[in-house]
Amino acid sequence: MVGTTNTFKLAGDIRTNFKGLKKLYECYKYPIDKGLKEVSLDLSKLGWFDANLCSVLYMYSYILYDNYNISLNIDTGTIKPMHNVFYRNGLCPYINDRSELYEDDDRESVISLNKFNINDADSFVSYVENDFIGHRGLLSKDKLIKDRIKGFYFEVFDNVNVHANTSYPVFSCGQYFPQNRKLSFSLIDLGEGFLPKIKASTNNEVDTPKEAIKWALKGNTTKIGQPGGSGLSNILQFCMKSNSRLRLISNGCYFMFNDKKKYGFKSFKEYHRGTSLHLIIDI
Amino acid sequence: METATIVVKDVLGSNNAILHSMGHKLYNALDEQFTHNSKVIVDFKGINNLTTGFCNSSFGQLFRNNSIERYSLIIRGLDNTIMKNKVEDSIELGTSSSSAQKQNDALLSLFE
Repeated sequence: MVGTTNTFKLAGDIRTNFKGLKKLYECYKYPIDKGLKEVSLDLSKLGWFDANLCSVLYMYSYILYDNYNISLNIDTGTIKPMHNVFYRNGLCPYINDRSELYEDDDRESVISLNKFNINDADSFVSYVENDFIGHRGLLSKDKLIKDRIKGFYFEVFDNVNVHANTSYPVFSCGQYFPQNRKLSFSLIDLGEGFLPKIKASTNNEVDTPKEAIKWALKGNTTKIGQPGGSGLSNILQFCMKSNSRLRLISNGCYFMFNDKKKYGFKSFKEYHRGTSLHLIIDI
Repeated sequence: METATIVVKDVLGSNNAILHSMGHKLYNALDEQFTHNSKVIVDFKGINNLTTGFCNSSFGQLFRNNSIERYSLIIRGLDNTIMKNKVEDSIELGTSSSSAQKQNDALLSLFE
């Protein structure tokens, strides 16, 4: 089978949780394990899909090509009408490298898929202000709340810039769910994760991915001579106050926060690259 | 000793004070000006966005590493309350280590 095209069937529901992210990881692992040079995603059995996770698929397609010269594309013939968000948010045009696949976001529910150089703060700001904060889901929100929300994303972007230590881009995508008034947003980098810098700055005192995530969420910083934390602590505090949810993966460790009573860590040891942050805001 | 003015937008070459590295640029400018002047005005005119990371790596670092009185630093051009608070919080954190601990009490109680 080496060097041939093959199909990977992405089936069932894919939500922004441990199970959903594990399923998406299979899209990455499958062509490497099979020694393929091209893999096509069959979405005919796909159920619910959280559109913010298009950032994960885009990132996988990017790294598969860059690291293994493997081409990951979507079999558009298998896309059901319920998944036309893949045309509206840019996933199909990006992954299949066919700009004519773009469709208008007539539902105005999309926060488009994008990628940024981690040093290009101005482009990221423009994206957040126009695509995200300017989104209809947030139009009725008070300016102060919108300023706070966008501020969190800038904190996260800064955090990526500080810890990622990579020339790879950062990937982002979001989705507004008008029926249950939720707004999800994902930001994913391909850097070295939290652990290396934290381990070094604590003289090996923090030496596991789980402890590194805890350390960062508590508001510690790896910057010598500087006070304050990484911005992650601000995001977690926001989640605690606003009934919002957070999922974080770094160095093979998954952290989830639903509320003060529902939070915890799980091993995601199969995937070690970078840091993924997924935020689901109750608006 | 006189008063110097630093225009943040000019130092950064951007309307967005987002990254730690940008804060470090401002820190270097502040550090230099405080060696020659008793007061420094920091003008945020034209700055649309600001992060905690930027403030900590500029003002926080300045007050953590130097014996500078708070009144020697004058902040101008910040109308946004959230941004003002971020600047003041970073100065507070840079000045007092107990403030840093206090700020994270809620998070510590979650994990321990």
